[in-house]
This record gives sequence, C-alpha cells and structure tokens, in this order.
Amino acid sequence: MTQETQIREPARRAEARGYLRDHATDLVLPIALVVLIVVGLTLFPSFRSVGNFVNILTFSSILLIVAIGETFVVIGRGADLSVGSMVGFSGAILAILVIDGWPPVLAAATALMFGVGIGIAQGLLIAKLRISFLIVTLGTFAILRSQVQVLLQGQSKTVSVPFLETLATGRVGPIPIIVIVAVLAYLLATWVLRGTGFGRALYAVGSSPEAARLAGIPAAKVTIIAFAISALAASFAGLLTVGSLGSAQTTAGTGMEMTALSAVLLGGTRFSGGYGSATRTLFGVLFLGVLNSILYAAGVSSFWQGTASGLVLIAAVALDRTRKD
Amino acid sequence: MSTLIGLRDVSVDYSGNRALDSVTLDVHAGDALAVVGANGSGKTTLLNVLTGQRLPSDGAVIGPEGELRLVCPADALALGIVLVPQEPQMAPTLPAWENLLLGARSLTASAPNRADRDAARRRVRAVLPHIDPDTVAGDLRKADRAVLGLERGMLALPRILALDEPTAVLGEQGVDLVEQATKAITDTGGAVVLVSHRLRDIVRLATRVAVLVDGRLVLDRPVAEVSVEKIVDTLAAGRGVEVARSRGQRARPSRQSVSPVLEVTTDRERSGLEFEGLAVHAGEIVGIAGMAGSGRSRLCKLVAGVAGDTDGVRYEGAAVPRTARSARRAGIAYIPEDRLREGVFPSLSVASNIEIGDLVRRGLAAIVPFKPAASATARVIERFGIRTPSQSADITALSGGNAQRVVVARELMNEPRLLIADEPTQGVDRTGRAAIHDLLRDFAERGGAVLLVSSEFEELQELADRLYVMADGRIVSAEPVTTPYSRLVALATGVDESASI
Repeated sequence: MTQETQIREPARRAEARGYLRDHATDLVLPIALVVLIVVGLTLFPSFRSVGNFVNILTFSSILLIVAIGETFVVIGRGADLSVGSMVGFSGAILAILVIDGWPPVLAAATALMFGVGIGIAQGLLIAKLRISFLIVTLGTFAILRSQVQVLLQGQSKTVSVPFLETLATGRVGPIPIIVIVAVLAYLLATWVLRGTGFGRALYAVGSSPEAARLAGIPAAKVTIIAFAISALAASFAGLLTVGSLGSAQTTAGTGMEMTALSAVLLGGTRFSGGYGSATRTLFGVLFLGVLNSILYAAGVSSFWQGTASGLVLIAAVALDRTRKD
Repeated sequence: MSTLIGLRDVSVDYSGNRALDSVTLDVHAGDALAVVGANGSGKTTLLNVLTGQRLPSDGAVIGPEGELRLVCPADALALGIVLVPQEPQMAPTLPAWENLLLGARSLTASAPNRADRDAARRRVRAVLPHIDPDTVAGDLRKADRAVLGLERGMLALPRILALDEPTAVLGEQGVDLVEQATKAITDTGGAVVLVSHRLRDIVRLATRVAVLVDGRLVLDRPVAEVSVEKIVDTLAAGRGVEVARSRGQRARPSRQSVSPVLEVTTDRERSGLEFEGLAVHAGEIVGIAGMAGSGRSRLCKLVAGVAGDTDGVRYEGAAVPRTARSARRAGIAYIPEDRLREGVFPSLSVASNIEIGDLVRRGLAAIVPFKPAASATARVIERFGIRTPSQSADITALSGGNAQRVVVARELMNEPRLLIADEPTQGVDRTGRAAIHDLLRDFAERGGAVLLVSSEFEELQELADRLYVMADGRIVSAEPVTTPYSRLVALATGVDESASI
C-alpha cells in the first residue's frame, strides 16, 4: 500500500495544477472584458455613467437569450443559422394573431409552440435523415425570413401586448426587467447543461456522436432537444422584441444568427462540439456589447462595429488555438 | 555497420512529464529495430522524434554526417524517413487507389494519367485482393486502410521506415505484408523502426529489440540473443506488475443447470450473418476467433443492440432490446472495436468519460450533480487501475491502454450480466492487457457472461472457456481452447476446408 500513497500525493498536486490550467483559459475573456471596461472608463467620459451600463445590459439581453439557445446546438456539434429569422417569425405570428383578436397570452404561447415545432422538425431532419445542420438551418433561415414578409404582408405591424411590454421595457427599481429575464434564462441554461442528464449527454454527443450512440446515449433525441431549445429561445426573444418595439418589424432579428454565433464562439465554446458553457456565452455577449458601446463613445461610425467584432472573434479563437499546444 | 540515424542523450518533456529520459540509440543500415514498452513508456515519442514530428527537449538526433535538425515531418521526409502511423490518414471521399498516391505528387504536377491510375489500381489489387480499388477510403475497413497506409509509405521509397503498431489492426494476414516491406528495405541497406506490443510479431519481423521502461532504454539486443521470456521479464520488472495469472485457477462454471444468457440464431437475409444456436452462459467467456472482415464486429454490434435490428438474438430467454440504450439498461455492456472513434469522448475529461456510464443508466431527464462526485470517480479509477494525472485530465492525454481501461470501467460500472468485448486489448501494451484480462476474468467469476472477439488467438486461448472460429459471416467450427494455434489460423483463414459443424 506504500506504493499507493506514493502515487496519490503527486496525483493530488497534478489535480490542482490541472484545475489551475483549465481555469487560466477560462479567465482570459473575463479579464479582457474588465480591461476593456477600464479602458472605456478612463478614456471616454460619456462611457462613465450607470445609465450607460444599464443600456449595455438592456441591449445585450435579447442577444444573450438567442445566443444561449445557440450554445446548446454548438455544444452538440452543430450550428443553428435559423435563429435570426426565428426572432422575426415568432414576432410576426404573435402580431397577426393579436390583430386577429386572440388573447395575447394565447397568441404568445402559440408563437412559442410554432418555434419549438420548427426546432424539432429541424432536429429530426438533422438527426434522423442525417442532413447537414448547415443545409437544414440555412433552408429554414430563408423560409422563415420569407414567411415573415408573407405573414406581415411586407409591412411592419403595430401591436400592443401589455405583458410583453412590461417584460421588455419595465423596471424593478433601477434594473430593467428584461435583464432579469436574461439572467434567469442564463441560470436555467447553466442548470440544464450541467445539472441534468440531457445536458451531460449533450456534451458526449458533441464530443463523439458515434461513441455516444454506441454507449447507449439516445444521440438523435439529444440533438433534437438541442435544436428545440435553440428555437424556443429565439422565439421567446422574438416576443420580447415585439414587446420592446411595440410592433412586429419585417426586419426583426436580421443578422442575429451571426451575432449570436459570434458571441458563442468568442466565449470559447468550440465549434467542434463537446466543449463550452452558458457562462462563456454570457461573457461573449457582454464583450461584444461593451465593445460596441466604447466604439460609440469614441465617436467611431457604427459602420465599423462589424469590423471590430469580426477581428475580435478571429483573434480570440486564434489565441485559443495557439494556447492549446 | 554505419549508423543511418541515431539518438544521443535524447530527452522529451511533456508539460513536466518526462516521456523520454536520455535515450541513446543507433539504427544501422539493415536493421529492423523493434521498440517495445508499456503504454506511456515513450515508444511513440521516440518514433515522433525520429520522424521529425517532435523536437527533443534535450540531446540530439544524428545522421551519418552529424547532427540532424528534424523540425518538421518534411525535414524527415527529405532524408527518406517515412512514418506510417497506427491509423493512417485517408481522404475518405477519394478511391483507394488515389489514396495510395496521396502525397506522392506535388500540387503543380499534372493529374495522374491513365497509366498511373492503372498502376495504382493494380497495386491496390495486389495487396487487397478482396476490395475494388475504386472503393472510396471512407468505406474501407480499418484493417484495409492500414494496409493502404503501409503501401503508401512504401511508395515514398523510404530509407528509414518507421511503423507504429503496424500489425495491431491487421490481424494475422497483414503481418506477411509488413514482413515483405521490412525485408525490401533492410535488404537494400535501409532500416525499419517499429513499435509493437505483439511480441510474436516482433520475433518474426525484427532483427533487434529495444525495451523502454518509463522513458529509459533498459535493453537493446539482437533478437536472436534474447528470448521472449526475457523481454517480458524486462517489461514486467520495470513496472512491478504481476504477470497475468495462469489460466486454470478459475473455477469452471457448471453449465448444465443454467440456460444461456445469450443465444444467436440468424440467417444472412436478416443480418448478413449465419448463426445456429451460438450460446453464451453465465460465468463463461466465449471466444470468437476470426480475421478482420469475418463478420465478428457485426456480430458484436447486432448483440449490443446498436445495429438497429436485433432479430434472432435472444438475451435471458427474451428478444434483445432494439436500441443501444435499452440494451444497456437490460444489462448488456459493449466495448467497441475502434477505441478512438467509437469508445472514448475526446473532448471530455477522464471523470466525464467515466460518468457516461452513470448517465446511460439514469436517462436524459435525471437531475445530476454539477460535477461527478470526485470520491465515486476516484473509486472507479482505483478499481479499474486507470493511470491518469488527474480526474480532470483530458482523456486524450492518456495512453491507449489507460483510455481503454476507462471504456471498460464505464461499461462494467453498471454491473451488467453480459459483456461484449470487441478487440478489448488492441494496441494495448502487455501491462494494460494483463489488467484488462484480469477485469474480464473477474467479471466472469462473478457470474457475468462474456462474448470476446480477438484477432490475437493466443489471447482467446488464454482467456476463453470455449472457442468458436468465425469466417465469412458464420461459425466454421467450435473448438476447445487447447486447439493448436496453427489450426485456429488455418480454420479462420479458410485454409482448412474440411472443418465445419
């Protein structure tokens, strides 16, 4: 047994080293975010207000909800390009139903159910028919965007849904309710990913779909659920968008699939699957929000936003790659 | 004798772990050098240093005219040093013959003309007579890809050929090909360096054997001067492991009283396999001796419920559940053949890989702790003898044998009643193999039924209570474990036509 104790002590130390190493990588983005905020605070007076930060959080909230849904799909070794269109689509469904005289709650629930149904259909095509997720979600992206135009007849519709307006624009003291909603979504996602059998299985499926299937994990079901969650999150974000604007816009959510995917990957969730977290996505979203706010405070034209966030995304992933070796 | 390539006090450190420890070694013209060692002893690292895949942390690589700086594989290739990895990379959508030519032509060269294509096709037919040279590589079996990889290496006209586990996936018939390749190079003044766990192959292929223990070179002798027993002793002495218990100590199960745990009766129309009452009882290990391509892996997948169809398979007197998950829950465990692609989860930690077993039992709706309980994981790691730097270490940081022990642990932790083990010790060193053998024996002793597939027939003879020989999708013969090795090979390769049941 002396041999055992000899083995154990270094093992414990290695455990501690391994922990530090893992978490050193995790800390890069949060530290970069803090640095960015400090830079903003020092250089730009207009950046220095509580109101500014509340604005950043408010603007980030809807993106965070969409990006968290996307995180599930990416961890499962996929990508959902339909989420931006889904934001517009669920808003359009809500609008026409409410205009049609449906009770708002029922209309909202129906819009969410449409979203989940489409997510499940996408998941079925991907997991059962083995069609590439790029093809399926790209197709859905086009279909839904066109259906937004069809449903709204090409024109944005003004609708008033009081409970969504409260969620999207109300405040509890100084804190916008939408921020609280986004934080709750983040906490729920973290719990689902880490504290449920589905969440753990999602990592396994993303890591090796074939090994997962052979090990007895219902891999197809896991993939379908991931796409359903992504669609549900995007549909919910679509409802909040209507609530915040007071209307269903034909352009709602345009380009959001790319912003959301950028935030997920910037956070460090890997495109190759099986690795990532909702927390990473949270930091990815906040980083993009703060970056844009600083550019605005610096008086940089908003035309440059895409260039900045694109460069940051590529730089972050490149850094992650070089650190791994 | 002139030194073609050599190592001078070469050490390699991987993040604090010393993989090679001042190794000095010369490879002479005409050498066929076998490097032997347990998992994690530094064999693959040594091969990587020789072939420019890795720079030594310390020491030098030397050639006939002094020090070599092998910074990248291309440097090594330019000197005629060619590595054939254990699982050669293939372009899965290109046909077999084109994969043979990969890397042989520069990008600016013209596309292969008809003569080149026909020559390549002929070459594929010569080494793999059973396949069409136009089959895309993605549809080839692992063993066929390995043969193709070896041939591709030979086309590069190596002066020094480095082979990583060349015979591990090839089965018996592939060893001939490796032997021919080795002869062709050593006879013309080149040298071959091969890493292998299979001592029988080493004795046949190599002229010299070098033994590594924990990164140090502890033996370097001509094969003629050293017995297999001596090599085994050197390996075992370095690790302080007990050599596998001799067979016969295990109590034989009394078979009359119990009905079989597993029964397979199926025909070709249903499954492509032909079985009439293949049975495995509680407490026994039934070995399937078959070459690659005999249908042995298909049999395993069928029984494990992962083939999508389980017609004709009866488990504990009832039909086998049709999905992998329900089969697992019913007590059927499965160790797949291809550890890297089918066994482990590469982006997950050791602890998470082990946790998968728990997950399968509990289902998707289960509420689980945020992290697998460290103490429970530690118990599994200890019980199955997994050597890992930490629970949170990446599974990819583990040696093949240890990664396989993780798979075995995952499968056995739910106390199954039937274990299907498809090549459980492929590419695993002697120490790891003995450990896995012990785990299988223990499982059987506690009343589990084991269906064991292996292309190493000695392994079956050592472990199994009964043997079936399989060829061309059917059982050709039921044999006692004492059947001479040569007869098993003859039956499995179809040399002995008289045998049938």
